[in-house]
Amino acid sequence: MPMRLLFVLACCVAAHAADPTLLDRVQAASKDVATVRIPFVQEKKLAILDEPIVSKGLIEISRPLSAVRWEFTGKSILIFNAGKVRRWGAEGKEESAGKNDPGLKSFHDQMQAFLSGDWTGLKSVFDLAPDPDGAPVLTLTPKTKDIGKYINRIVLRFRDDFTAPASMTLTATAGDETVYTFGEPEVGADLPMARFSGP
Amino acid sequence: MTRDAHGQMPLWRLISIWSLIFAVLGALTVHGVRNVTTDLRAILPRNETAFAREMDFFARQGAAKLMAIEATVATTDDLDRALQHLRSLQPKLEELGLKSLSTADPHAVVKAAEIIQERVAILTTEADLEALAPELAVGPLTERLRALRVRASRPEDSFAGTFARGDVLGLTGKPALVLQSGLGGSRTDGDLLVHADERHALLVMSVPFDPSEMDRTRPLMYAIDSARDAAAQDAVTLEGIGAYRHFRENLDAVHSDLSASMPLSILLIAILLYSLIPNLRALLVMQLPAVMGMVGSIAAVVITGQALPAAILGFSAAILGVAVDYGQHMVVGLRSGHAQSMRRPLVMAFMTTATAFGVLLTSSVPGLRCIATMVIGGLSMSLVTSLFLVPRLTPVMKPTDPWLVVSRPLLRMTQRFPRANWLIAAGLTAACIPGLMRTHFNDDLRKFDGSHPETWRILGEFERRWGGEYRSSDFLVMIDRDLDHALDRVAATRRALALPPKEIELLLPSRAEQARRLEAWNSFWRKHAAPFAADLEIASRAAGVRFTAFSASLDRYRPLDAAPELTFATWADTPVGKLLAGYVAQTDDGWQVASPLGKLNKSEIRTVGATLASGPVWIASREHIGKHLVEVVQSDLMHRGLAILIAILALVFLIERDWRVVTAQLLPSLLALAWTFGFLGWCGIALTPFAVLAAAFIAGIGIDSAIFLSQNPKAETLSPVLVASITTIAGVASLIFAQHPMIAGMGRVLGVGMVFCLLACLLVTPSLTLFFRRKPAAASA
Repeated sequence: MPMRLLFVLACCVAAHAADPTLLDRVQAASKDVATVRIPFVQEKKLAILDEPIVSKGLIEISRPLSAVRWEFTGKSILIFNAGKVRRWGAEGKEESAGKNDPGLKSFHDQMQAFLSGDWTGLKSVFDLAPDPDGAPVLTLTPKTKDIGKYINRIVLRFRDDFTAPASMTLTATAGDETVYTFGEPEVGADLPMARFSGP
Repeated sequence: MTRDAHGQMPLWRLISIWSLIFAVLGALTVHGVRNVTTDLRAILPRNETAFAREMDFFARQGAAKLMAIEATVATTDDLDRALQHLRSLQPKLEELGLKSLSTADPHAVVKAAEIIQERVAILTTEADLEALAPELAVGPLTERLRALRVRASRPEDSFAGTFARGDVLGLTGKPALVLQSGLGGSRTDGDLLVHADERHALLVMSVPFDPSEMDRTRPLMYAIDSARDAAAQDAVTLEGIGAYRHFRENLDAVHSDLSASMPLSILLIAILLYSLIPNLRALLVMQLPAVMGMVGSIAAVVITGQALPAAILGFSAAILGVAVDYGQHMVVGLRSGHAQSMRRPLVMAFMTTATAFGVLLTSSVPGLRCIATMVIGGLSMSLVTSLFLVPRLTPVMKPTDPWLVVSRPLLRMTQRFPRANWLIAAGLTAACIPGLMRTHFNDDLRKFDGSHPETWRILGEFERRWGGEYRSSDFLVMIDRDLDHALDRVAATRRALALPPKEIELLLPSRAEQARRLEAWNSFWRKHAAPFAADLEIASRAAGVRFTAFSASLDRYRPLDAAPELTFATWADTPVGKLLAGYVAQTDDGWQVASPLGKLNKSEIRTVGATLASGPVWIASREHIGKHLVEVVQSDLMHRGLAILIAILALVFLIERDWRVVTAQLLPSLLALAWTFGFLGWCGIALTPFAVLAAAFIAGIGIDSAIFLSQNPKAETLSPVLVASITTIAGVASLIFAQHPMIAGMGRVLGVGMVFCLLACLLVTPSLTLFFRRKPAAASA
């Protein structure tokens, strides 16, 4: 679920708008995108650890190839291709993705949803509130108490030109926080098949 | 009533009356066939409480209303294709009313997780706590926290660190395992289960109707067939597993057997009859008793309010073989101009058969009563048709018998050397007696089933692959007004048998057990809470994690004044609730609690049965049912077999008043039975309980033939006896090749039995009748 949310919110969002103006703009800006590469920095602040864990990475999406690559630089790579998720560890060795790993399972589902354009699950789970002052910010709060037991809220900020998300903050109920800061998106990036076949 | 010049009812009126009778019986027959049941309970006895409760238990068991669809691929790389095919099939099955047994609904899963979180003290067993104690030392704790740190540090992991703060020892994980894992160590993937070998995926759905509702089962199976064909194009093997597949195949087998055997039987019979009566109209008229017998047999079952079991429908073909005899004897009698003399042997033949089956009406086995009703009802209609309709419709024919070329020399041969005949009969009897000692019954219920061998093979592989947990065949069961009491007794029995607890005991403890667990929890944490907190602090420092983050865990691991109560209703609308619904059910007699035992072998069933002996908990075993079924039906038939013999003996003696005639009429049947079952025993053919019923047919037809031959031992009498016997053999022989083992078994016994029956009649009756007639003649001379 969390991985799904991250990706859904960070990369497209468009289909389920509480604020038609904001999301229409986002959708309009991204509808013709065939390939895109988005750098990001993930910062996890966990109560059990003294220091935050910082991971840099890239998300690469190719709609023509129906493939997604999510790379945490120097740590792990997840690739969704031909309907299946594969995972490689820091040493470049493929690990048992798909076997009893709910995290990867969520990743698999959301990748598939992204490529098919079906985001129907999101609206039923979250209330989407645009910023009252008109800032390009969307706040998501769980509609149901079951999701609310895990996620307090998600705040998504878009770039001023609405072409891509700028940051996303996921706050867990116990106060743990994961922040994604997205860099400049490279629309129309050259993403050959090799990018989606392994490290 | 208007009569014609001969004092008879006008033909048009007669035909109108018979048409009306046929229409009424036909309507009843259609009604009966439409409501045919495949529920085994319809043919099994209910007078034994223990047996009836086992059958009811399995009928109630939710497992019978599950449909599993398994998709298999050659390599793990192709698994997604398997999942895709199952996912595309699922909505089609949902349209038919099926519901997924999925644990994937997030609301349901979260509700279950909440229940576990709030009641971890009473969901943790004493054994769990015993196993936990060594894990509380600094060393194991440090290892645990290091692993947690690694896991939580992974960028793609979002909640491991957060979850661990409230339950660092993962005590909620064990009860929650049932939410995360499927059969045979599989993992869940949405609504699907994926086997550990990553080559097999499974969709399990509950079905809102009984497999015997064929108007709904067929569309279900067609949907699966269609998906299977599409999957095959994509190199995915898709198989439906469950009672629905077996039911369809059983019913298809019965329909196919009947539609395949009946036309063939009718054709063979028609050819044989034409050779005896080469007149088309007479031949058609001759079939009327058979047709009326067929509809009469099923109508009799409907009128008497009995269920019509599918497997027993096969008997209608056997009735056809017997019923056609009546018309044949009457038409032959009419042709030769002595129709009046046919009435007595016809009525006598009917009475002996009706007497034999009349005894079975007292049987405690509904299936036997149903057969008796069919036979008596069917043959009654055949007799009435033969006596009152056939004579009016049969045309006048030349008194020529083409079969005399066979029957004359045959009769001469059987009468020329009577002692040689008896010697042959004695020799055959001596040879068959050891075979009788070898006669044995089949007590494997699967061998009564008409499913394809391929279906059983697939089911066997499926059960092995998924750990045999898909459908436990044996259970510990108790029914009690108080659910809590039943839960407690079943769990106690399981402990007494030294069996590990299953989900029902782990996730639904009785109130007493909840109190025991809470006491154990409190006792454990009174002793360990303080040292655990100190050791966790040391371990946290060693592993590089913040001790203060685990305050929620320390708050959880402490003695409690009370825990929220856990009942069956607590788990409603959760995956655990769905799981437990397979084990807990409300019946008219109270709450039924079942604890799965997997599949026990015969010796284990005996051991468990002996342990349970007189207690309130009993064992429900599919194999036990099969064995018991054979015992009950066998015993019923054995007891009534003797009664049948005595009744027929008394009846024939009352009619004939001469023991020599009685011997000539009854001995062939007894010999035929001894030879038939002796021969089958030598061949090592296992008998089904219902195949034994063939004995009554053999005896009945043997007596019919012997009655005709003993009353008039001439070639003119032998011709119809020969044709009647051969047509009967033709009627049942085609059943030998039936797909359904029950029907094939019946065909085998009846086929062999009828051959021996004819042989015994030829060897014994003409020669014995002649012998007894000569003696008084010689004495008077």
